[in-house]
Amino acid sequence: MENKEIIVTGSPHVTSQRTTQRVMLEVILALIPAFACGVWIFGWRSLSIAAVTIIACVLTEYICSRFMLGRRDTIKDCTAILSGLLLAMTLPSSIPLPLAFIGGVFAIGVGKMAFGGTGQNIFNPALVGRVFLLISFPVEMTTWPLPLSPDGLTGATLLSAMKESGVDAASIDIYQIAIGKMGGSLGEVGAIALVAGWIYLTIRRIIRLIIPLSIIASVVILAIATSNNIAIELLSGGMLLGAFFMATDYVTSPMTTKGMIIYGVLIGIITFAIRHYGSYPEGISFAILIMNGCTPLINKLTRPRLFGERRGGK
Amino acid sequence: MNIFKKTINFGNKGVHPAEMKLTSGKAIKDIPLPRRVEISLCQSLGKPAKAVVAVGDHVDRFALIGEAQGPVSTNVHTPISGIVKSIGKIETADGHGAEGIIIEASDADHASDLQSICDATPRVNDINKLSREDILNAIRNAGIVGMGGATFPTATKLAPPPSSPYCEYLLINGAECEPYLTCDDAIMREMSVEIITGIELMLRALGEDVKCIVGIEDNKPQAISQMTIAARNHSRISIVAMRTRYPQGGEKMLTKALVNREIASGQLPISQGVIIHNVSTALAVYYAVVWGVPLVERVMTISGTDFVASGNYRVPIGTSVKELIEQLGNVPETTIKIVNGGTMMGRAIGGLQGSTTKGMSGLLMLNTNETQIRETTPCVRCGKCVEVCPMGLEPYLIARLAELSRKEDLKAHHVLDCMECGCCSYSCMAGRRLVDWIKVGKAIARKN
Repeated sequence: MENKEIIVTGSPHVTSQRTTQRVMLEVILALIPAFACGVWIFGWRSLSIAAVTIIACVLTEYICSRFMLGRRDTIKDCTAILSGLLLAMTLPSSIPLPLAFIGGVFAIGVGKMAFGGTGQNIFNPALVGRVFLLISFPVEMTTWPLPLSPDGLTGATLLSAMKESGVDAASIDIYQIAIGKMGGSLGEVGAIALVAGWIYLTIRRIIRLIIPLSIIASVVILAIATSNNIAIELLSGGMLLGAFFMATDYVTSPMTTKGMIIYGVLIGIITFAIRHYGSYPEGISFAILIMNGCTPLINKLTRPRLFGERRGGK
Repeated sequence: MNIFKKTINFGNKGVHPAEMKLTSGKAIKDIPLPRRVEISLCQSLGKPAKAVVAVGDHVDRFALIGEAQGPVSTNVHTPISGIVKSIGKIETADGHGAEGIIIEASDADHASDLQSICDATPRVNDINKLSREDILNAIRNAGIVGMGGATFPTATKLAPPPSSPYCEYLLINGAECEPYLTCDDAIMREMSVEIITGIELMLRALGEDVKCIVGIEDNKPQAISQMTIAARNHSRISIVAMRTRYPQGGEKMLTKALVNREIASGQLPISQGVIIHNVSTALAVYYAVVWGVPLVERVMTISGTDFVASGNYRVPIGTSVKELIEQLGNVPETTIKIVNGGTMMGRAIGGLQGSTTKGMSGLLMLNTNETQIRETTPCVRCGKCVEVCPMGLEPYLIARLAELSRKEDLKAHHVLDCMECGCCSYSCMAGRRLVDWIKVGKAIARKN
């Protein structure tokens, strides 16, 4: 008995059951309903796109961490799988598979590993991949197959239709949008499924309410102020996917409650501005990336209040 | 009973680890007087006591063997009669070693000690006749220190310098927020009247209009009801149930929970008009003043899922830890970690070594399910450590600054305000040992 291994470490001697890997798996789980909607609406091709982006992401992470950074790979924590899935969900279902692969490689290679790997990146890798593809392959990235159409008809997304062809907001059936019957990327069409995933993550306390709520609140207020249709603002485009799953990415969002509010509100404002006054129909990807870049600064400006310190400094 | 009407709590920070109060219903059992004790002379925060006996001397039970050296040092007494065998370096439970005195009892000594336990009578029958000085002297002479673990001399705390702010509240800490530990719970259940008398004595020492609030976490309903009954006729003492949340027993958190005041960085509780003592300390005060018994024993929780004799034990101070465990049973085969204290702030020790001290509240034998050795993965900046830190620090950042040895930045991020409660390490999903790094950071910040 005396010879047995007794471990000596610093305190504390207990930890919560939560690990990075488990959290990432739960986020993936929360995304599955929305992804399944995408598969239902756009067909089996959606699955192969996700497979390609996930393989590209995991492979890139493995190669970069093993052979370029020369350290233990971080595949096990499942962050690369999540980035791959998120990237797939931002792509149109008609995207050529090689492009999806390039997107995945860029997302992890440039968006994450170039900064030093897990936890070090400034920008959300999936969005880096998406924006890279959007800028490099604008035609493929803005060709949106129509929902539930077996013969491969394509059309505009709701936002681009409204922006470019002047479709009247009043003529749009909100119910159809809510159940996903609109043009768009794989993951953004199933609004109800996205909300379900978000509720799951919130109940499990994996993400906090603050970021999604500040984004949504600021968009709603702006929509009211400019008399735009609130439901269309929220349900169309990548608003929900972005607000629930992209903006809440741990690595690239602020740490404190105050910081999260600033971050969320500014994402809402920038998205709204791009949608209505910019040249792109959809702006949430850009808005999140811009605010990702501001996160270190926000963290610096919104440090938590030291216990015993009066509110608003000493 | 309106215990559950309002929730009293220090805020939304902190964590709620599995309580693991395996011994919460267990009655206090006496550990028989040992034949040999090794008593450390470093029983308080300050300087070690100076030995006042010589090798070969015969000492009686409760005799003074070490004399306090200054206001933050404390007297040391012997729990047994016997011959002083040696004075010098002894092993301590944490493996560091300290100055200490070894005393061995002969058969006659042992028998007379047992008889004296039977013959004991209270020294004071009416505490109302005692003056402030009587009480403070009795406490000081008895060598009482804060028994929650901080081991600050109680008499010094009860007599703040005249220049310090006026004391309005005496807060009694019955939170016992550490997992596993139930020794405070046990004494509150079984000795509430004695504790309340101890509190009454402390109040007398502090002044006429000082009020007392006893804070107990709501996972100890029996302790709350016993204490409430015992405090019925004491208008200055109120018992308050607090919503269970770690680290509510920290003095800053307790002050926030009970009187909603925040003790600022680097300040003592008295800056907010409060003085804080542990329930165990109040009990020791009772024995010292009423019975004239010095602090030579304490209640400890000895626990672990696989340890058959888990329970609350009244242990003479200076008992060998090894002998203590061996008379209760064996260390379970499954034990991978032995902890002196609770699982959040206790110290892991390499084995059964040394002897018990005044500040030792528990000894835990943990198996692989109870303590985890986690693999460390990269920080994903989830912000959980910032969310839970009760001091409002940024543990992830301090840990990083410590890795980089950035002294000035560490100070600017208040590394020295960390109380090492462990909430950050506990909740870190990347398994990072943030507290370890913060300790390194503190050393860097203090270095000249």
